[in-house]
Amino acid sequence: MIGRWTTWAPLLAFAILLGLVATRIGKTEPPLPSPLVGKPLPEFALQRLDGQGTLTPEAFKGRAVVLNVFGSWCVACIEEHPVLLEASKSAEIVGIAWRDDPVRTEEWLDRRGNPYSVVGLDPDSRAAIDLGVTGAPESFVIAPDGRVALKITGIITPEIWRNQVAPLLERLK
Amino acid sequence: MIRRWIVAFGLLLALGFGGVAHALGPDEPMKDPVLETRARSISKELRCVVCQNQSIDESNADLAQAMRGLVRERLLMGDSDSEVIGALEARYGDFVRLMPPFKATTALLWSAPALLMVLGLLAWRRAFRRKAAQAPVAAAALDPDDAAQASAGVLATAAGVVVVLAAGAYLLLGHPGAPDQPVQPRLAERLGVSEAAIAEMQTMAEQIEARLAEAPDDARAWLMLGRAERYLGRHAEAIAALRRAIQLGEADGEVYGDLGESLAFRDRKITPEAMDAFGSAVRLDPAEPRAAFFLGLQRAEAGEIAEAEKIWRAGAFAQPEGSAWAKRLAGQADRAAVILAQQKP
Repeated sequence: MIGRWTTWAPLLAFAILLGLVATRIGKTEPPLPSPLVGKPLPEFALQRLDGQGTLTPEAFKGRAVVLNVFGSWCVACIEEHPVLLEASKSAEIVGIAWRDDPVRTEEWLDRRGNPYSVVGLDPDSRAAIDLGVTGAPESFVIAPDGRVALKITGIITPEIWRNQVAPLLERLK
Repeated sequence: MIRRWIVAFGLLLALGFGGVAHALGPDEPMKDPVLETRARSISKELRCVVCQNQSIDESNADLAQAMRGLVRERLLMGDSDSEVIGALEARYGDFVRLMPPFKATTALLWSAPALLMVLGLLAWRRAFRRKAAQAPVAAAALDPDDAAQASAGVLATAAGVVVVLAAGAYLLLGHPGAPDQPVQPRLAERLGVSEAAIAEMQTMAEQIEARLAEAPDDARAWLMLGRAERYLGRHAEAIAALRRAIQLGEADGEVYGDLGESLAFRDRKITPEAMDAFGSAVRLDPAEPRAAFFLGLQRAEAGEIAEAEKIWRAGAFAQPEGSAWAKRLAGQADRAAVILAQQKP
């Protein structure tokens, strides 16, 4: 009896491991949960793209907004852009131009349309690091009390906007 | 996965026209060797979040560079190592640490080697007991119980020793928390020098102290003691010794620069006391680089960017061309100029 157990146990363990590998392989890793969710948005003070002083979280306090990190150099942002343009008709979107040349940011927005109520410049990743950003685009839904309600790593697809962001903004209002 | 490549490509593009100078020139070593070594060792523990399993110390990515700059700035402001790592952890989560911390969610990860070891030993013991029970008749003739018991006892002892050794080694080498080590080896590791060098410096400090007990008015000795204490990162002691040296006549720009810097490190900010020291340093030696650096930084923190730029620019010109300080001060001035340009409508 014992002899059988010792023969089969390692094989069983190996089979389980193999099963795990087989089911997990090819699946995209889920985005890492952001430790910021549920916490107040970190403070930042960024030069505004329009030159009208600085952008701080104070600027959108009391309103539920989407904070979107983008850059004119970011290919995925081009894909996301139409979704934001459409969404900006019903929601406030604040932009952070990450590691970007202000002139290029401006050109980019002129050419594609500007979904942002205001754009802050983050040329040296200061705000990006404070927000735990690992790439562009990344977006945060900010509650009126200044807490981060949701983080979206990567492109906001129409589905994500419809199923996650829009209902959340509605609830936060 | 694909997004990572897009991001990497984007960052490459951004590099092409980036050209934004960093506040600290993160790839330039900090003036204080203690702080620089701390910065390097912290950077080795932090993950470059846009790379594949590289630390920010190894990575050339823009974001890694920005994070290295942040580490150095925080150290300069007086953060402890764990405060710096904690700050980045609060933003990126455990992921940013290359070595995961020990907590409820990682307990299994960290205890798995020890658990497997114990399980293996248990299995081994069982197998051995079975063998002993089925021992050949020849052994049985000698008194089977005795033989089985004796070998089981030896085995149990051996297993115990192995477990203790493994547990000891695991606690020493494998525990993720702050290593509980005496000061000397830790300091040696931080400074990137041998333990012998630290011991030598400590012995030297003790010898100077002994000499000062006999000749308390030896200005040169006080100065040497102050610099030794600075080397060992003991800024409070360094300040006392440097003040004494200045009082006794060893007062030049460099000594005041040392004093000001140690004051700034001890108090974790640029206090009026430190400002006084840097002021004296400039009076005695207009080219004293640390005075220019900190006086400029103080202005910048007060929001007087134009004034800060002027101080840094002048400081940079006063340094030997191509020296590390010339580059560092010029970098500061450039950064200030960028901010000024952005502020203009």
